[in-house]
Amino acid sequence: MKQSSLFLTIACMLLLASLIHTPASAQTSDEYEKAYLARAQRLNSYLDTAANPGIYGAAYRYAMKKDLRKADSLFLNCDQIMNPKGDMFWMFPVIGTYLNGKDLMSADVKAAVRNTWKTYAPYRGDTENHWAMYYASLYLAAEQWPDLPGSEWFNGKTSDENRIEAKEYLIHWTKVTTTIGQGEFDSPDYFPEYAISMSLLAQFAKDPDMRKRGEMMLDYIYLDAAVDHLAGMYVGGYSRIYQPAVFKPFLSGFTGFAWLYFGTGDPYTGGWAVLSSLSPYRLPKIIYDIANDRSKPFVNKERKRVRNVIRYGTEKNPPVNKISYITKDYGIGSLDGGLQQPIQIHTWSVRYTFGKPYSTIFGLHPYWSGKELAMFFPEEQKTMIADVTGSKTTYNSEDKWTGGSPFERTFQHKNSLIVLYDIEPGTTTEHIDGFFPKNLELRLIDPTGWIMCKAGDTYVGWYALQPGEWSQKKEDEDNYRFRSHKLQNGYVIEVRSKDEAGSFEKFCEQLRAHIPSSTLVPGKVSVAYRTLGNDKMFFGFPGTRTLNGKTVDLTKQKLFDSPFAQADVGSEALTITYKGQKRMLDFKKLTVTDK
Amino acid sequence: MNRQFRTLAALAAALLVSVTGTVAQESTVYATTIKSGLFIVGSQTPKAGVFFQHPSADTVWQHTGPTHTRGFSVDVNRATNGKIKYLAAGNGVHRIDETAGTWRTVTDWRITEVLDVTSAPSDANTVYLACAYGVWRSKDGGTTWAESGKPGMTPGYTSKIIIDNANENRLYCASHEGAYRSDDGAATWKKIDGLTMHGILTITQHPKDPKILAVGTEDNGIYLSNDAGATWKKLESGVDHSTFYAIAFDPQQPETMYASGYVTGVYKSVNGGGSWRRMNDGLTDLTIHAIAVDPRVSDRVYAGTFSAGVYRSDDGGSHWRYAGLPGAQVWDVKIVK
Repeated sequence: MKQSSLFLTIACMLLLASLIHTPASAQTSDEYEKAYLARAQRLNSYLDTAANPGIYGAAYRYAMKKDLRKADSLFLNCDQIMNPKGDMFWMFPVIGTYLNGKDLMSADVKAAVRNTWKTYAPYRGDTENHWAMYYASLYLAAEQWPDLPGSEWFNGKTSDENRIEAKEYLIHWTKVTTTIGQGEFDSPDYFPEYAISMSLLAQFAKDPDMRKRGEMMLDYIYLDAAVDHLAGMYVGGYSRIYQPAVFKPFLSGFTGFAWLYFGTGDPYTGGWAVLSSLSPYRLPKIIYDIANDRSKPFVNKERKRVRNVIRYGTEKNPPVNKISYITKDYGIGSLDGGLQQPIQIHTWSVRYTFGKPYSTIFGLHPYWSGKELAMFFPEEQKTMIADVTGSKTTYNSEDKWTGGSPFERTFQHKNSLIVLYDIEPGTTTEHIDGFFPKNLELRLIDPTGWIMCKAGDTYVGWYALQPGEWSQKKEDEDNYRFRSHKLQNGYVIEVRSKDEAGSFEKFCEQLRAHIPSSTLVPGKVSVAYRTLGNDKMFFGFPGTRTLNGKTVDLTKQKLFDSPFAQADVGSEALTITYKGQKRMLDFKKLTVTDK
Repeated sequence: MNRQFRTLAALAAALLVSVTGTVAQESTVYATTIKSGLFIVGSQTPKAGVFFQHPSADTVWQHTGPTHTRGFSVDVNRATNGKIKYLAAGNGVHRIDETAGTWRTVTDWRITEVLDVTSAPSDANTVYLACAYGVWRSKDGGTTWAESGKPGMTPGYTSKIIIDNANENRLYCASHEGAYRSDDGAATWKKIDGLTMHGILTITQHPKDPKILAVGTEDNGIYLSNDAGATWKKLESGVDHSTFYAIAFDPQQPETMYASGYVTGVYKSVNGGGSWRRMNDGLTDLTIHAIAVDPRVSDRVYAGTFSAGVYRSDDGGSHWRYAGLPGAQVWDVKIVK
């Protein structure tokens, strides 16, 4: 490389770095756009040099209008065209790549792509994210190839039938999400599936209403993440999360999207975010600012819904109530508890900025049952555990770190959390576990019963209501596992930052002065506790919650309720606010209003 | 050598089927799989859905309809001599037209997790389906569907729906809430009061006496009614298990019944359910979701297993041998004369 070229390259990199790291509040709209483009370019840069960049290499080249014959070759020879498989995970990259390059690709490539939609029959799947991908992709494909008879489509339906069905479902999904909430909500691992589907819809739908719907849903889900994340980590609980991301939060798919759109976390390369990064969709700056402003602690409350209950229940979609408290150093969040999703739900966690990759503390009752699975899946309940463990291998492990329990409930007020258990004898399992990473700076076992943890500027107190032991299991080499075998059980969690507590020593002193009192007998499990903020919490399992003597009525919780977002149950609307700005999404009228 | 000969004969039979379309004097066996192993004639692609064979084909099966779906059950329409079939699957109902060599998904996003489907013996366009959310019916071959169940039924998880042998307007269904009967072509339903437990998994009718019904349940064993569901008797003699997914009558000798379920192996009764005996010799997987008797050959019985494909007995259940679809999770087996 010539010296002048080297100098130019370094200068460009420094410029990009400065744009990427300019504080959010200081950015003008122009700087915001440039910084976004810089992140997008960095995310995709590997596609220029990768030996076999595959289908995304083709999409990138088409979108950039460069190396078009190379793009054709990559597309024509990629696995998705040569050997279609993967159902809806096949559909979105194929239609996304096609739409990025349809006016640039050769007739051969076009014909090959079209043929796959005739000969390969993707399965629709059985989860909300499957359907979002399936129908968004099918909608776009049906629009692209209109007026074809059923014999030209994998499912025997005509172009019109496919387009109409897909449109109806996507409208239905939008309505459900904006009236009673998502079922697969706040999922660090499944966020990308929704983001990509809506991104493709927003970019490529010919129907302006559907394009608008895609844009508005992108605003909706990114806002949902913006008020509930810390430095690129979704703050728990979650509807679905894979075990690695539970204790290594930055491993989740959400992290890449948070970096691309929020500019948080470490720089990210490639992955599924590629297709989104090629889209002209721009995150409204108001959402970006909310995602980046952690100058003041705030409480975020949300209402979501349980995945469709098909048996062993009285209601199809009972509500899920979530509360988070987020500061610049940590976030603590919880769902109200119970069986709200099968397999991968995670009821509560503390996330903090210190100590990657294990920047979290949480607890759970590792429960599993065929009946739980049968609530949500149609196969036979007695064989379903064997079915599920074929792919979700930890589901029936007594040591697992994900999963909900019918014997677990929570009560959170700001940064104080009570978790209670009243576990039926003989159930799987008869213990509860707490996760403490080994990279904590301090983990003190105080004679008062408080476990006092220091993680950088975040301090976590854990008061176990029953005795337990510290496990030395082989698989726990990176963490301490606090296990208690008492069936009537629970703990109180307090989290404070250095800014809030003054120092770790002061935090510990405060904890020593705040000892919960509990009743722990079968059918009668309760805790009375005065928080470090001097609020009086009373929690009786499963659902008696009082704060300073007043009943906490979760049935009145809104879809969004925070300083940044407001949405009523049933409203089909969302109001986003930040420092005097307002953005209102109205899904009934399909309008966005900025003030 | 014997095995090689059997395989050669089976391949020859399969070839004959593909050339002539039929094999004289043989029934057709249909197996519906949720997922399959790697084996299928002419392909290394793991297919699922509907497979079929004639018994002389031994372990060789052919596939029809959607290649890649979680198939729960298949209806082989009698009015069209099986040329029209309906596949109940996780992603809806698929209508297979063997004459045209095509198939088409006939449900939309509103209908999902379809566990059973049946069409009227006299009219391929009258179709009923049972799914995780209740019962639906179509009068036009699946072009349009109307939700059934109300009044009279609590919509919900419904795993089996059958049409009365003697009256096409009478239907029965098995659901998580109980068993139901309709006397007006699924326009309205009435709960069968004699069965008070939840978790009715399957319901079967005697091939010659329509008043005799049998149900298999989750955790509550097998029940039999001799009066079209007015009263029920639990069949307990010799039964050591509680969860039953399938019950089959021998069409030629209906006093002979078979039942199977969760780790049950195969139970057989030769006295109309009065007493039962387990007959598992040769079975490698005792969880059996489907069982069917060949209407042409009384002692030929097929069992669909949870994880080991199809097994077959040619001596009324005394001995079983592997009959193909390795590793498949079989939900339904039907044998059509």
